[in-house]
Amino acid sequence: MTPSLSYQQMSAFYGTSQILHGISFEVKPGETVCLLGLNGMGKTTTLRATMGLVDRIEGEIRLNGDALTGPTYKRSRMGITLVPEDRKVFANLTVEENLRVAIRKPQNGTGFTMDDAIRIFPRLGERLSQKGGTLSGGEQQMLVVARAMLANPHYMMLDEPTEGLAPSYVDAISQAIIAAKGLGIGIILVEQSLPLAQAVGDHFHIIENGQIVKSFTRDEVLANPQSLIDMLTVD
Amino acid sequence: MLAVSLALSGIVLGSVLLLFSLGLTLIYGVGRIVNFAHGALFSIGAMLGVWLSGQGLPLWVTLILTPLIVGLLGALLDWAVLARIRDRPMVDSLLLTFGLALFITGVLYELGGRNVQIMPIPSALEGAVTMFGLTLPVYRVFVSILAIVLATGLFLFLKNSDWGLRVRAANDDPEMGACLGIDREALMHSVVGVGAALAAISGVAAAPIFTAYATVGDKILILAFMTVILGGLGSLRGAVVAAYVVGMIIVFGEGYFGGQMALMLLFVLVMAMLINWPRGFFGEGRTE
Repeated sequence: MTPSLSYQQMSAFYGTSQILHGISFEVKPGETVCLLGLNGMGKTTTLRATMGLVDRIEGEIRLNGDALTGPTYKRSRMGITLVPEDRKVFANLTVEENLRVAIRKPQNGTGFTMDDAIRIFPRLGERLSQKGGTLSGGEQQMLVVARAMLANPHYMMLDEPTEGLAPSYVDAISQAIIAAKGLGIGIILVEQSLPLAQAVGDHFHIIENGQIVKSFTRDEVLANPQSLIDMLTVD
Repeated sequence: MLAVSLALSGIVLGSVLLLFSLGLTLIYGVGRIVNFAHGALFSIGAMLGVWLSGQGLPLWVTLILTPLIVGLLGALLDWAVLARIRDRPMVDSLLLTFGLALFITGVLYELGGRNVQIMPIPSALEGAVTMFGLTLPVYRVFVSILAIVLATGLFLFLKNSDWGLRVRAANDDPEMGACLGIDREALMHSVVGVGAALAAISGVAAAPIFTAYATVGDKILILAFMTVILGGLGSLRGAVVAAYVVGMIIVFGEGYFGGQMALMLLFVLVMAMLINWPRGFFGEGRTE
């Protein structure tokens, strides 16, 4: 069984309203899969369903071949974590505590450590004793990405990590994503910024009304960058 | 002289409220449960304390045993009952814990809680002590110091232990905590356990002053809700300040204007806070 996180005809529901209508794709270690599409199409729901944060799913999510079920914290301990769109910094914890609470040692090797986090995001190193809630938006985003990586997950999901950020922060976040790929972490990236998606993505899925309507590989996008843009332009 | 004596009573009441409210606010913060049964846990503590003392146990043993027993009961209660309605709408937990409170109170009635029971002050803590030129009853000073030491201990533990880090993280955002591997269920059992233990120890420590009966915790519960609202829902340091503010308002209000007036004064303050500053003294409480 090759390791992967895969979605097989997954539908997701909040109460009686169905958000996703049978989506299928997979992520392998070290790969980045970009979910693209307009707002309200089901990208965030895909990520939340993976963490067990929707009311109900049909179809399956499989982790290394086994059905992924159970409470959120168990999924996290199996090596899946989420960087949500609204960041969810622990506002009353210091930056250092925000990072420390997430630390999970990998099975082998040292994995991603606090020192690594501070090397990629020096700004966090300067603010370790500051309360998380007092950071700027960009600093909070760096904090939550570093926090997720300290859990040394096998799969990391990022929901619009660069939305509304200044270019210098976008650079820092993309450095982190590249570092995560280097560590063999499989990434699902929901992103509006095409340059970032194109820089790190291996597979691209366009989601419309809860379905994957088109998929591209990295090579296809590199050969014809306009193809993605066409799919995402409102006409 | 009246003012000084009232101030001490205010500190005693504030300290009891502090221990009691810290548990209440933690249970709300981590589990989003407004625990109406918290007052009943105070009553259990008071009555169990009187009973254990009646068996000839010294006060210090009673002060350790009571919170231990009630703490375990609290953890059990969370596992058996409260866990079933986690993340349901707030009204479910209100009704369920209210029912639990009635149930526990009923049991306490049957166990002799209809009558006011007196807990004697041990001879070592009887009498008065003269401090800063003031004559103060030893036991009241003892209760205040005990509460302050325990509250400080809890804060240090929350600040420095792994358990405390997880509790504070889940208090800030339970869902994100779960996304980072925090087992909120197990955490909640321990949090309700600690909260119940704190309610019980405040009940037993206050028993020689407030006496013990089936509903002795009811008044404390109402004052504790005021405390938690003034401090901000889920805000721990807010609860510390608010506990003493409430204690002082009640005691001075009763001393100068009579008991009903004191409560009314407090209600007006709480309403003003709810309307204008719903996040409490430090602006860090939650609004739902």
